[in-house]
Amino acid sequence: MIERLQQALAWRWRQVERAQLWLLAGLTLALLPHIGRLPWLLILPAALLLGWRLGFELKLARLPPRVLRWLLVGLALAATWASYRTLFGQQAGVALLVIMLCLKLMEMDKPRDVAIVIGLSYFVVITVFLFDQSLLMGGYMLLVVTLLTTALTAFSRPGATLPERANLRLSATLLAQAAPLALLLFVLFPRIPGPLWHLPSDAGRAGTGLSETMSPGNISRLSDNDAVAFRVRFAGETPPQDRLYWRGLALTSFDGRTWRNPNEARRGLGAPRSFDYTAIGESVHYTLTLEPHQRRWLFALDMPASVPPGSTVSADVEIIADNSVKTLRQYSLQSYLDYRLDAGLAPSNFAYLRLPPGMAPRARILAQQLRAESRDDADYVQRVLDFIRQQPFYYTRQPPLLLDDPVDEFLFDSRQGFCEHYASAFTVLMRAAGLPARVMTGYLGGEDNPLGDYFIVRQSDAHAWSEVWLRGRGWVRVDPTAVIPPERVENRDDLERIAPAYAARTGEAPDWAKRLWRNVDYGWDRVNNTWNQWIIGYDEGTQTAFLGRLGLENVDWQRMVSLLFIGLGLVVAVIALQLFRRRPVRRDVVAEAYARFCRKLARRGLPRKPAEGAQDYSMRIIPSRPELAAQIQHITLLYQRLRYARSMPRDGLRHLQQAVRRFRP
Amino acid sequence: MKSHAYKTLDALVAAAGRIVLGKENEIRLALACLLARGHLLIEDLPGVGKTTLAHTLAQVLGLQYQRIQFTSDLLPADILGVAVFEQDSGRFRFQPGPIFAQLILADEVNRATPKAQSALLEAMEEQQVSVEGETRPLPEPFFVIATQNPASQIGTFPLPESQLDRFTMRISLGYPDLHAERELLGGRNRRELLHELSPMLDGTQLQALQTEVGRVHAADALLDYLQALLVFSRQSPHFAHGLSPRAGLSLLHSARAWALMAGRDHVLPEDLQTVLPHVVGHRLQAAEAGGDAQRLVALLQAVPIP
Repeated sequence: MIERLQQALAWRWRQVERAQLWLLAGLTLALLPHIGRLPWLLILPAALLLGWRLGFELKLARLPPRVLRWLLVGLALAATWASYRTLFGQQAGVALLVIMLCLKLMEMDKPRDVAIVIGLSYFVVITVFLFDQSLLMGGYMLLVVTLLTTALTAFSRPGATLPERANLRLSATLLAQAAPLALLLFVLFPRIPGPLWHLPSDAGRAGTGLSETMSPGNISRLSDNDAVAFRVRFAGETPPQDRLYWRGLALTSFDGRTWRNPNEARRGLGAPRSFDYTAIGESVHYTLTLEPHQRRWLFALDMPASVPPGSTVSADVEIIADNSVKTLRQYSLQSYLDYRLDAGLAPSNFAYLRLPPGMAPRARILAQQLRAESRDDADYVQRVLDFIRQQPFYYTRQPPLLLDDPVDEFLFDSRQGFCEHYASAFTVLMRAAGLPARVMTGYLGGEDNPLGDYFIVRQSDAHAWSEVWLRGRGWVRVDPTAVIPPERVENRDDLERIAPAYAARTGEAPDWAKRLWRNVDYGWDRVNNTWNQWIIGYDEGTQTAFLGRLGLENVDWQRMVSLLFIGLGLVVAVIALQLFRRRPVRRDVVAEAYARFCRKLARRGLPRKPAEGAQDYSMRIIPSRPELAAQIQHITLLYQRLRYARSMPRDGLRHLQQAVRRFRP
Repeated sequence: MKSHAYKTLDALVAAAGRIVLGKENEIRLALACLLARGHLLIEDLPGVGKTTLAHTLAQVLGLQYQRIQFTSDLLPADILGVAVFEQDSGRFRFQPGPIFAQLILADEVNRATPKAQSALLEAMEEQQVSVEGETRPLPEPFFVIATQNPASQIGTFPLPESQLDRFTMRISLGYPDLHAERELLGGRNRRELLHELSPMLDGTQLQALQTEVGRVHAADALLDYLQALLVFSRQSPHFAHGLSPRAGLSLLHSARAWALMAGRDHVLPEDLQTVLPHVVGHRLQAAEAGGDAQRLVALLQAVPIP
């Protein structure tokens, strides 16, 4: 029974028009990357519609009648509306495109419909790049485009007996011919600073990385995340790793458990403030390539001297971009590792002193006790750090759950925590003693890619520390996590995170497998970095620099467009010329070799008539050139055997080509 | 390298050539037609040796031979047979007609009425006859050689195109050349010679040869050429109608037989070109009034070999 079913299915499978299969395969693969992004309410119907079409091709199902089709269109609109509350915008638009394209399969029978479906499938490929522009996705989409082009070529030759592999080869050839055009367009198409068009932004898209709140467990969750946060290329000497505090967001409001950044509400209200600090020592120049994290803040080495274009600086010296970072963003900055924030004015805002009433009573008592013992604020900070160093505080990735009062429980009971616990508790102790303080989040350190001249900062490098305002010194960075002695760090790998200098001293040589894996990892990251720098990050500046290197200085966009069209014309002309020359001969090596033989004879005034068989031809020309009889017969026989016989002679093709090469009439 | 089949066939042609003088090419074509399991139409004037050719083929191939002379009063029953009432048993007994033979010579087929013609042609197509509600298979192999006087002669019923299509090939013999005619005039009676000729094959051997024809390889490149011919006949404005798929198959089978007779296990474009005029000549009709089928064949022969 099952066997018969299998046989019946196999029979139907063979009956399916191959072009339809190419199209369905290409479309399905084009839709795959969207699966995680679209709601199930739309993914499931799309999959069902694709299955329906396949069933129709297998002659197992019928396409829905017109009334049902209209009904389905209505349902699709409703489902999109239900999922997004809009039909416009990036996400809703893509969702609508996907579901409508799948619905179009329900009425695809004329060549015009097929052309629409294939064209829209190409467009789906483009929409994928709105969300993911990585190298891997680019490679994958190249495969999808090949499949879709194969479908296109297969549909363009109805009833053709072209074998499937030849079809695939044809589309690969088409794409290969298109490659120089794509390269030219990529290099020479004028880049406009800023986005070409403004996409309506979507709210609530999740991104990885730091968020604008910090509660126990927030950052430790990132400690296993190897994803790259950003990459940095230093212009000069790379500073020591334990001084690389990548400043992100300041968290000033605390509710006893969670630190928040209140600036989200304030942003855009106050005029952007300039930096008030005194730089000490040398500046560091670097270029930072930030992975999209869907949020607005940018990272900079503590302390930046200026802000990149398209962003402002907040009162807490955070760099806030005008739009959230949805694509790779690259900017060059200058920072001073040694600095003094302006000490003149005490922060007028009480926000830096506020503690939730009733929370952390024990911590308050401790703070008052220690403050009373201290000479001044700086001494107090030192005493708190000493307290952390002397008491048995441990650094761990799996801190015990803190329930009621996280600060008190951490400081006096569990004494095990991650950087966010330390930063939070330290800041609370400062505030409890009347010192303005805030939590800073960002990244610490990073790793040098030995295979490329740049630094990788990963999500696992996320860090939190404190800033305290001291009279006469202004805001001072204090990292309470750094004072924990190495023996109290639970995981040896974490040593590297919190104090890279320790690791360098005590570091044992990793075994070869680890080393190899690291190198592969670095190599792959380097490839990605190159992709980011040259393909994704190819903007106006890079374009000008690149063209300058090619000897094209100061190219304005008009000249660029004319260059572009000249280049396109040249490429098309070269391809056309090749096609033109190749036209009379089929891409068949045997026929090509024989055609060469005929051309040689034609030059001697003995052309073959188009309708003349090889046998007849040889018999006609041998009387005029009897001295060549043996060669002509040999070539004719080989050609006939190769082209028309069932079994080919061994190495026949090579012999034929050789004989034709040696044939000199 | 030449196969066993080639030797046998060559000997056959030589033996037949001793009876039908100076017509080796026509003998080969007729034999190719037979090997391709097709039926043959010979169109020519009376007295040029049509009957002799048919009879000779039957003799050398060891086939049962029957001749049916078509006349204007010939009835289907005269071809197929009738049921006769037998006094002794009190039953009807089927008396098979002349069609129940392996090789039929339907002489001057255009003299009979369309009704009689169609009885023969249907038997050719179906390989069986239905008489008195009973279906009787015809012998294997079954091969019809029909002769026809050129249609310009008076008192004939020319075969319609639909029926002509059922003949795989049409050939004409033409007058013998001087040398052959001299030999014919000076030599012995052909009839006598014919009786001295001994069969060179039996039925199973012939069927084995026919199977071998089916195994002759037609490469993709050759099928491309064949299709180019068919497509040309369908697209060119000079043709009233294109070649039918049956014509295409007939071309392919005949070319295969021709290749086998030339000692090859694969078909060459030249094989197709050789059989082409004989296979398509009677199926083509010019679009213009007064157009000539010969010219159409020439057009086809000028289609480039891909």
